[in-house]
Formats: sequence, C-alpha cells, structure tokens
Amino acid sequence: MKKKTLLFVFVLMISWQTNVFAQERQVTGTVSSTETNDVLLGVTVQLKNTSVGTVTDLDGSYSITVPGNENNILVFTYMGFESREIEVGDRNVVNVSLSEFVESLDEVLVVGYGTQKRKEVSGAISSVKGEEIAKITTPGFDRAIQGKAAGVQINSSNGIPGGATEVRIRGTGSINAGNQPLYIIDGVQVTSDSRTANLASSNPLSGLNSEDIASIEILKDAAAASIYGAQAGNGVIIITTKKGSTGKPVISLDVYTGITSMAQDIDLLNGPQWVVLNREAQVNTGNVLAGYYADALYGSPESAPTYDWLDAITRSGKIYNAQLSVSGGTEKTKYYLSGSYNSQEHQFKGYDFARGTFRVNMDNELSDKISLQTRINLSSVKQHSMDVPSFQTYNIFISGLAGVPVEPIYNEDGSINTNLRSGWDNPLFSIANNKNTGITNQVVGNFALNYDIIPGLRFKSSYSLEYTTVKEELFYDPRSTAGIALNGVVRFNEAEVTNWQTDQTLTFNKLINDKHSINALLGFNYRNETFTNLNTQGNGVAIPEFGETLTGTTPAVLSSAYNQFITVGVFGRVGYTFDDKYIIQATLRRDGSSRFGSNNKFGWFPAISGAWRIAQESFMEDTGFISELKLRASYGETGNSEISFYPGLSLFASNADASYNSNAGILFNQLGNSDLGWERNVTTNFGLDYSLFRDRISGSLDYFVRTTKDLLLNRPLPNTSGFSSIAENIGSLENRGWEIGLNTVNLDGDFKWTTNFNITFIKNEIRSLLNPGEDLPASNLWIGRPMGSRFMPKWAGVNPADGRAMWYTKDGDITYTPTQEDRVFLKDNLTTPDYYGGITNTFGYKGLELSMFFQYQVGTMQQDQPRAWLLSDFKYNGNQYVEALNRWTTPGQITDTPRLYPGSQAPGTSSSVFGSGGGTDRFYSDASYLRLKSLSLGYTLPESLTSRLRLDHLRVYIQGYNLLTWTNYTGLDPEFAAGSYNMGSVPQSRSYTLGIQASL
Amino acid sequence: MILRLQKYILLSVAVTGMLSCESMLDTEPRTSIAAGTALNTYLGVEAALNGAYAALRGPEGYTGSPGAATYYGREMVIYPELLADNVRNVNPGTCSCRGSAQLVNQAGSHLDIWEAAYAVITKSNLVIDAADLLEEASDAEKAVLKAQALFLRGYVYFDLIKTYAYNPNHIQNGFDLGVPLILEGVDDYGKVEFPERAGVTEVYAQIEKDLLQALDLFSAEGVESPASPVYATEGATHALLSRLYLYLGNDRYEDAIIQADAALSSGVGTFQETPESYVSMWEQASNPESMFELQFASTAELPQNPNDNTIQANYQQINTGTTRIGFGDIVVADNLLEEYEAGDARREVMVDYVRSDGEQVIETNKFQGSKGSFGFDNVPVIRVSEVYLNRAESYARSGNEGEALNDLNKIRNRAGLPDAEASGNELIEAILKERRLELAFEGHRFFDLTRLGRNIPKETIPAISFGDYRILAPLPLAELDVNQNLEQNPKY
Repeated sequence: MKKKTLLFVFVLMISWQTNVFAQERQVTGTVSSTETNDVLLGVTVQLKNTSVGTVTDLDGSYSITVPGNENNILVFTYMGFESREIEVGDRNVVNVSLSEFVESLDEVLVVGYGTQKRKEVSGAISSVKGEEIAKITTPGFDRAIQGKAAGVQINSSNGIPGGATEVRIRGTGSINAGNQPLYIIDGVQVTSDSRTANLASSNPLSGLNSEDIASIEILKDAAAASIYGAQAGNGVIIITTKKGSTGKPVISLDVYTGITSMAQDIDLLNGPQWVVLNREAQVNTGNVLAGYYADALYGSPESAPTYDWLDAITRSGKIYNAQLSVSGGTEKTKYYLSGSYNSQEHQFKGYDFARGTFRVNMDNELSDKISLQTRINLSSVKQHSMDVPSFQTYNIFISGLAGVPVEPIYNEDGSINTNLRSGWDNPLFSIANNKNTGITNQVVGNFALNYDIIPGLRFKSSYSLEYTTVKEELFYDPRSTAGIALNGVVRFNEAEVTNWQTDQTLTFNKLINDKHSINALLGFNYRNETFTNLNTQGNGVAIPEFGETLTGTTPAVLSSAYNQFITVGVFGRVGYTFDDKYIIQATLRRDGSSRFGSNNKFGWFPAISGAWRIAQESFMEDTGFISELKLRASYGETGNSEISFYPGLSLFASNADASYNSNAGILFNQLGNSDLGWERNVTTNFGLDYSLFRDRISGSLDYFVRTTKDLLLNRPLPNTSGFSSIAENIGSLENRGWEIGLNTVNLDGDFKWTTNFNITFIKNEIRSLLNPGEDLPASNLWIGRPMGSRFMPKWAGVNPADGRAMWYTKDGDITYTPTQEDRVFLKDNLTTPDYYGGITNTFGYKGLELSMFFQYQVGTMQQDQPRAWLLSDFKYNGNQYVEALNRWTTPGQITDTPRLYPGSQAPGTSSSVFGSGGGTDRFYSDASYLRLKSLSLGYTLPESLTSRLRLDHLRVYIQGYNLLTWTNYTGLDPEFAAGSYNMGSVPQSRSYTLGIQASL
Repeated sequence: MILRLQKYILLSVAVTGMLSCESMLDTEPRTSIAAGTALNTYLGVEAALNGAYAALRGPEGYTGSPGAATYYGREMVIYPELLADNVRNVNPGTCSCRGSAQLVNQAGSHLDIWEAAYAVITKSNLVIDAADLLEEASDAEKAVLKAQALFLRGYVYFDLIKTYAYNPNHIQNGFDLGVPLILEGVDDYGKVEFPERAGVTEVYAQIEKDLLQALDLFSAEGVESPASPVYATEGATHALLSRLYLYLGNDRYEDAIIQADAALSSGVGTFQETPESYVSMWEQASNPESMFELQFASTAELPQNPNDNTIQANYQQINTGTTRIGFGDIVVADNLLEEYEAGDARREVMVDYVRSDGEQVIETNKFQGSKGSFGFDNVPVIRVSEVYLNRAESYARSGNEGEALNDLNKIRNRAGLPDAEASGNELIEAILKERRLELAFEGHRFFDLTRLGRNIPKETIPAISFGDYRILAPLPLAELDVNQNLEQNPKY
C-alpha cells in the first residue's frame, strides 16, 4: 500500500516535472500566400528574440522547437512579403498566410482599356483602394472616396441615404452642359443622372455595394482620359470590382449596425418666446387688432406651452448592413460571389433606404490563348422619401422646423393634431399617410473574351449591358394639404434604361532587349443608351385607403419620354519606355455622338504625355534613399457631350402646355442649331511622383490647367421671336491649380502610425462668354471672375437708433434703400473653394487600429435658404430661430437682427430683409469647414484566438461618421453642394456603427 | 502568325471604316417631331392652333414649375385688380403677399406679359402662314384655322398695347410708341428679327385689321363655326371689336355699337336674366355668359400648385376644418364694397371668411373651383354683360342716352337693382361704376381707368395720377438687353 502510494507520488512528480521542466515542444504548420494561396518555400520562421529558426520546405511546411511556456511568438519573414508575428499560445499547429509586399511603384493601376504599373504612368491618375472604401460605413462608394483623392471634390445637395452626389474632378468645367464625370464600372459606362421623378433625390450608382470594389481610379488629365474622347471632359472614374484568386474558398462576412442622429443642433424658439415675438411683430406693423387676436388665439406668454416639433419629426435612425462573399478558384477558374443587404433610416422621419445586391465575378481560362471574364451585379434599391425639397408647406422638413411651438402636435387622445391654425399639414400626418417610394432594379453586366493571338498581342471583345428599371409610387392623402384640393393624388412613374455597349480592342506589349518597352492599343467603342419613362397621375380617391391604385381616379397626367443617344469611337494609344527611365505615350480618339448637330457629328481627341524617372539615372545612384523621382508632363483634349439629346434639331412637342379643350396640341419648342457640338477641355498637366526611404514618404505633386472652350451657352433671342434662346458653342473658362498628395509612414514597428494627406488648390475663371468683353450678369457670369460669383448689395446690420436694416452703398456708406448701383462682388464664390482635401491618420498597435479622417474645404459660400425662412419676422406663421430673440427693441441697442416687421418691407427701407428676394448677402455665409468625417477603432483578434474559432481573420470595430464640424456656416450642412437649392434639403446624419468582419 | 496578325489588323481597319457611316449615330426623338414636317397637314396646323389657344393660359413650362409666371392662368386676371382699387391684401401676418408689390404700384412691379403674349402671337403667326399653304384642305378648312389665329393675334396685341402703351387718346408727353408688330412666323434661326416698337395707332390699326379679316373668314362660305365659348367665333370677334372701338373712342363709338349689336345677336353667350341665375352661373364649369372663355380642361393644365398659384388660390382660402387651402390673401377692398347698393345680387358672389389670425375678410366667389377641385376654373375672357356695357357707354358717349339707359338698366335689373335715371356726364359715370361692379376681379379695372386717362384710385396708398410713369408697364429688361432696337417706356 505504501509502496503503491510512493509509486503514485513518483509518477505524479514525473509528470509534474514533465510539465515544469520539459521545456521544449514541436510546432508545425504551413505558410502560404494570402493573394494566391500558393504555399511558400524558403520562408524564414524564427522564434522571436532568439536565434532559434528554420525555413519552410517545398510544401511550405515547417517544424520548429519552441519552449514549453505559452509566450512564444513566431516571426515569419519572406522576401517580397510583409513579415508577420504570430503568438503560438498552446497550439501545436500554426498555419500562416503572408501578404505580398507591394512597393507603391509596382502597384498596378487600372487605366482606360488596360492596366499600367504606377511607375509607368505619365498621366494624372488618383487611385483609391477597396480597403479604404470599405472602411467607411456608408452605402454609396462616392461618399467613401470623399476627401481621399486630390483634385476630386464631392458634395451633395442633401444628406439622404442613396441620394445624388455632385462629383467635380478638377473644378467645374461647364456652365450649361453636365459636370459629372464618366463612370465606368467593370468596363460599363454608366450615366449618373437621376432617373426618378418624385423622390427627393436618387443616385443610379447606389446599386453598387462598396465592399465589392477592389479599386477606384480617377483619370484627371487628358493624357489619361482622352481615350474616352467626347465622354471624358469632366474626368473619368473607373471602378473595378474584386475577383477571386487561386486557392481554397475564402468566405467573408461583414456585419455592421448603428444609429443615426442630427449632426448639427437647431435652436428654435420655445412657446413663450414665440408668443412674445409673434405679438410684437404684429404690433410693429401697426396692426393692433392682429396683436389682440394673437393674444386671444395663443394666450399669454406665461402660460404658453412648448411643443417640440423638431423632436417630433426626428428620430434615432437605424443602420444595418450585412455582406457575405465567397471567393476562390483554381488555375483555370476563379470566382468572387457576394450578396449584401443595407438599410438606413435617416434621422428625419420619412427618409429610408434599403438595398440588396448580388454579384458574380468569374474568370475562366478556356485554353492557353482564350479566357473569359464575366462581371454581373444585380441590385435592388428601395427608397422612401418625402417630397422633392421645395418651399412648399407640406415639405415635412420645413413644416416640422417651422412648426408653431404653441400648437399641440398630438390631440389629447394621442392622435395626430391636423387642425393647425397655421393651415399647414402636421408633418407627422404626411409621414404617416402620404407615400413616396421608389424601387430601382438594376443589372450591370460585362462579358469579355480575350484571345492571345501571339504572346504580347491580345484581342479583347467585350459586351456590356446596364438595364435599369425604376418604379415609383406617390400618394397624397386627400386629408393632407398636398392632396386636399384634388381630393387625393396618386402617381405611378416608371422608367427604364437600356444601355448597351461593345468594346473591341487589340493590345500589344513587348519588351525588347530588356530596354525598349512598347505597348500599343487600337480599339472601337459603341454605346447606345435609351431612357424611357411613363408618368401617370390620377386625382380623386374615394377614400384614403385607395391610395395605392390608379383605378377609380380621374386621369390627370399621362406622359411618356424617350431619350436615346449613341456614341461611336475608334481610338488608339502607343506607349514607349526606354530603360525604365524615359516614358512617352500618345493617344488619339475619333469620337462621334448622336447628340451633336448634323454639321458636327465627329471630333478628334488627341493627347500626348511623357515622363522622366530621374531616380533611375546613374547620377542618382548615390542617393539610395530615393526610390522614385518622376517628372511628368501631358497635354491633350477631351470633350464634354453631356448636352441635351437632340439640341441640333428644330422640334415641335406635344404636351399639356399645348393641349386645349381636351384636344392635344403641338408647340414649336426648340429652335435647332445644326452646328452644335461638344465642349472642348484642353488640359495641360505637370506632375512629380516621389518615393523616399522605401516608401516611408511618397506621393505626388501636380500642376494643371484645364481650359474649357466652346462652352455650350444659350444666346438669348428676343421673346418677340417666340423663343428665348438658342444653344451655341461659344465662350471659355479655365480651372487651374495644384494638387498635392503626401503619404508618410511616421512610425513603423509594433506601433505604426501612417498619414495620408491631400490638398487641392484651385482657381476657376471665366475667360469669355457670348460676346467679346460682355458679361452675363443675369446669369451671374462675369468674365475674369469664377463661376458662382455673386453681385449684390452688402448687408450692413441694424441701425441702433430705430432697428431698421442697413446696407452699404457701393462707396461703403450706409443706406436703407440699396439700389442696383450698390451691388458689389461678394468675397467668395458659390462653387469653387480656394482649397480642399483630406487627412487620414492611422495608428496601429498589434491588432488595434485607430483611424481618424478629416475632410476640409475653404473659400466657398452658400446661400442658407432655410435660415431666410426661419428669420422671416413672422411673415409666415411659423417658428423662428432663437436668434430672433436678438431683434431690435430699444433705441441704442446694438444687434444684428432688425426690428420685427412681417410686411414685405419695413417702413423706411426699400429692400426686403427676408429671403433671397431681398437680393442681399444677409443669408449668405462662409461654407468653409473642417470635419472629422470618420473616426474608427478596430481590433483584429490575434491569430491564436481566431484559429481557435476556426477563422482566418476576425476584426471588430466601431466607427463614428460626421462626428465634429468646425465651420462658420449658419446652415444645416456645409457639405450641401455649392449653389444648390437647399430649402427643405435634409442634412447628412451623424452615425455610430459597430461592426464585425470575419473570414474563414 | 504574321498572316493572322494581318487578319486582325484588317478587321480593325474594317471597324474603323464603319465610322465613315454617320448613320450609326442616327437617333430619332419620339416625343417631338421635326419642324419641317409638323405643319404640312390640316391636322398639324389644327394642333398648332390648339397650342396657340393653350398658350393663353401661360408660357411654355408654366404647368411644370411651381410659381411660374402665367398669362390668363393668373396674372392677367388678378394684376389689373391689384394695380387698381378693387382689392387689398390681408394682414401681413398671414399673407403670402404674392402681388403685394403690384398692390402698391411699386416701381417696376406691373404686368409682365411680354413673353407670354408674344408666345401666343408667334404661334398664331405660324398657323396663319401655314394655313394658306395647306395643299389638302378645303378653303373653308383653311379659313376657319386662319380666322381663329387672327382672332388670337388681335386679342393678344390688344392686351400688349393696353399694358405697354398709352391709349391713343391719352398720349403723355408725346410718347406714342406701341409694341413691335411681328406678323410672320419664325420657323428658322434666320428669321429671328430684332424689331422696333411700332406706333400706337399702327398697332391698333393692325388689331382692327386682324379682327375684321377674322370676321370675313368666319363668315366665308362653308365655314363651320368653332364651338363657343372655348374657341374664337364670329360672335366673340364682334364682341372683341366692340371693346376695341370703345377703347379707341372718338368717332368709333358708332362702330362699337354696330359690333356690339352683332355680338349680342350672334347667339354666342347667353345673358342671365335673373339675380338667381346670375349668382349660380359662377358655379358652373363653363359660364353661360361667356362669349370667349379660356378652357382649363384638366388639373394638369393648372399652374403648379393649384393650392398656391391659381386665381382661386389668390382670391380665396377655404377652411376645411382640418386644414386651410389657398392663400386667399387678395380680398375685396372696402371702397368697392361701399359701391354696391343694398340688394345687389353681385354682392352675393362673395363670401365672408375668418383667417387664421382672426381677421374677417370678404373674398370674391367668381373663381370658386367650379370645375370640381380647388383652383380649377375656366376664365371668362369676354362676357355678354361686358358687351352690354360696351354698348351702353358707346350710346351714352354718342348722345343716345335712352338706349344707353336701356343697356345700363338691363345690367342693373338683372342684379336686382331698380332702374337708374341719369343723363350727360352723370350717366357716363353711372355706366362706368356699373362696369366696375359687374366686371370686378376679372382683370378689367386697371385698363378701364387707363383707357380714359384717369388717375388710379387706391385703397391703402394715395391715388396714382395718370401722369405717373407707373401707369405703363416696363418692358422686360432682358428683352431690352437682347434687342437694342427697343425703347423702354419713360422713366424706367
């Protein structure tokens, strides 16, 4: 017994000893490439801070002896790959994948009809990678590239999810033709014009799931863009989606959820304040009776209640996003499949967005010579919004902001109070009973066949289709202001876009004697896009419940539209690089468009560019810290064909304006100009690309001059001719500026800190208009000044003696009756900032990553239209900003807010103080801003943990969007597109999201 | 290998060759037709004539954008009232105050019908030119198209001349310019003119000529009269001529009487004999008294939005109990109300209304949404009653006081009022007063004062003397900028 016990103790001790003293164990595993999933041979595997090490064998396998404690860290290093440090933990098998280290010079950029290594690029191209885009939790990719690329300015006229954005590459180049760039999604040219009729705003590009994007390239100068000829005048944005790679299937799941709230506070009067001021305003007009009625109706200030209308129409909106993708492939077949769902509720009630997408990207090699490429995206976007922003009383934003604070929102029984003395709708009633929805279903697909005729010579035959349908439904309840007069309104609107294209290209690449690199491209492009729509409206519903059918209503509108355009182009490009040092490239396109007049169907669009990589020269050999120093220069021409569909023709139309006595009529509505053509953009670009200290400091510097000639302007005709104008190609303007991009790795190692900074300085100037030396003040266009200039009397504040509004005369004196003579130019213009850009700082420590992105814009102004309404001296029966409390009341009082006077103009003044009609700058304000656009904190779980969960990768993150804004802008959102109508436009949301990304 | 390469190069060249063919770019607008072919057929010209009628409602696009300027859709009816003394604005606190600048005759704020009027004229010109050239239409078919276009052209030139120029009998400081006379269609850029203003008398002569020619054509053999009152007819042309001669005065009163007689015996328009039928005629979709009435056939033809921008919306607000529709901020002026005698049936075509701030107002009920929804009304442009008053005044001014009293009392009796007894100047004033009461809110008042060279009485501001430059509307600045040959009205 005792012996047995001893034996047991001994065994126990042995085993204990084994635990404590058996210091060594074997860890094995394989190392593979993240990109290709191929196993890697010869990877150094080292135990951190020791000399213990090994290399992987032919199968990528290794075996290493590690101490028995659990604090082991293995370091994997491999030439051309990023090193990794992995905690072993208690695992015995550690499989690792290494990512290729891509030096920025070898990074491949997508260019028109091909790809180029960054070092070989001689034009001006910005690139934003998919990882950057996926980092911003917003459904539209355009919002995600805001502030990330020099020379690209992105704003929007509202903050509706899925709403339209305004993208300006190197300034605004056109006055009357379009200013949006050409979008190419996987080779498919897609128009970004809104296709909806009733929704407050929509964006046909919102069907693209930003997590599917591999990269976005922005072609900014003619050297890069002229291959797209007359479509490229406003720059080109090429979107490339992800494709699969060889190896085991990678399944990724990305889910985030969050809330939205107001990004900016709005301070309105409370009930007692409203009663005091309203009465004071009535009394000031001399209308004592109205003052009396004000008392009778609204009671005394002491007892006045406050109902918070703003609170009633806002909410904490919800964001939800889920995406699942599978990618992988064999040598011959690679696939990327993804599905996603995104929904967003805006903080203003009544604005929602939901989207589902499904993508199939396939690459097949049929033989050594023939390969196929298929890209298909299906999407369905459902939007719900209130009316198109306007000055209408049933716009919920306006009627909600201006809701009279002494009027109850709800009746005592909890129902919505619709008996408002203001005569307006209760916005909650509109939200609950009116309907305005749109569903956009879209297929964007591309199929291409590559045939490698001989090595280096490839024929590519590509066919693309974009097919979009839009179905909209609108209902104005017969009990709402919008519907009552017509006893209810039902609208059904349908639109369809069929956009098909083919591209046939022949490319040739050859490297001769390792010194002469030649590439050539010859191609043909045809695009035919047809837009049709059908608009209906029926008036009069039997009861509100019949708001979802036209049946039973009286037909009021029945109209259809048909717009078609065709473009055809042949193009070529030749590039030659000598010894990796000297680069020259020329492109030429002959392009035609059906939009042009019969005398001017085709045009030539040439470009030439060159680059010199100084760092490759032998005399630079000593300066080893410089890996790239490249001078670039380019000159060329592109065209802007975003003009109307048939501007060359004289046309009669038939529409409601011409029908009489229920008989259809016709009217001569367009006097054609058969000479009409594209606007010409001539771009000169000088650039410098640099990379120092092995990419620790890199970036580029560009100087550009973009001159737009043959501007499409409407030459006014006397109305006695029956026409007001005829379109002509005349006039020019210029955008000139600097773009600076700087990327630095400030700290490397365990603690990593990187900074990406870009800034664009730009100056816009009108060079000539219709007649030599003649301005067009009625259109706010002056030669020698930027577009968006404003010329009006300047507001001089309030006379302390009597509270009258004052203006400056042109000589700087005070006047109460400004005239046309007193107009001066305001300092800033509406459209072109002095400079803009963004800065991202990313801090990483082990798995933790903190990223801060600021976006800024300086030197524009904006007319704040809602403010004019909300400081209108109770001219309208609504609420006012709290600023109204500062109104002048007593002689000697110094204030900015005049004596309240609801009439059209206060006695002793000649100009209306209120609104834009006053024609003064009182409600214009500086729209410069600095915004903390996003702040995110992510944590990637260490591999030791993820592997236990049988995952390759697991990251959790939180993100705030539109967190902080520094601006003097008085309005709701300084990002409102410059010069746009912002009355009733809803601002962007602030959002907080929490997400998780996992892959296995 | 080389051979295959050549094959592809050849293919590319072939593709390039295709480009020489411009037909690849052929597209055709389907919602428009080319100008060259539109007016070659009777149906095409008839449709263009429809377009000309329609343009009386407002210039192209007025239905599409809220608050867009209109012609008879609103401005031409309410502005002549605002510019004179029949109406006032409600309290500022509840006022949209559209047209408030016109109400106080603010400098530069006047009728602005230039673009809209010339739109009708140029459309009529195209019809007049094309009708003659029609190959497959009978003479009667051509005549009926042309007659209507001439009526429209004459009608609209009359609007222009009384808005932008002095009455030939009341020229101030020798300023006798009228408006440019455009009498040929513009169907090509090359035909765009930069015309000067014709003289006042020249324009009146052209209007008379157009209307007389229209009469000839309406009465030509085989011509079938278009349907009254929504289309121009022989009767409507006579009625308009009676108005024209009344405006010309002097030796034209005889002509005015002859034309009025012809109009009243034409069978176009039915005089309402009793006070009851008078009050109820304003409730009817088409006013039985109309000799020419501008038709709004569907709500899609109304100015956007009917709640804000129609005639009714300006004259009336209604309280449904849950909401208030319309602005209704142009209400009946006190000095007009005082003019109505007790028992006047026309006082019943008004409604009392309490606004949201408690203000008690009286609104006209002549535009009451008689076609079934708010803001949806036709606009009576020429009424039988006006023709009686044209004739009464012409009789009175040419000395036939008995006939004048007959016509005057026809209007008075029908309103439930006793016969008037007056003679000489008093009689003329009684007829003018009756004209004001009868035609109030229909867009006559300002012109009935200016045609006689009278000062404009106002409710809230001092009267505007006839010598004041604000009597004439300013020509649009944009038009002056484009056409250097135009001379602006004095002092603008």
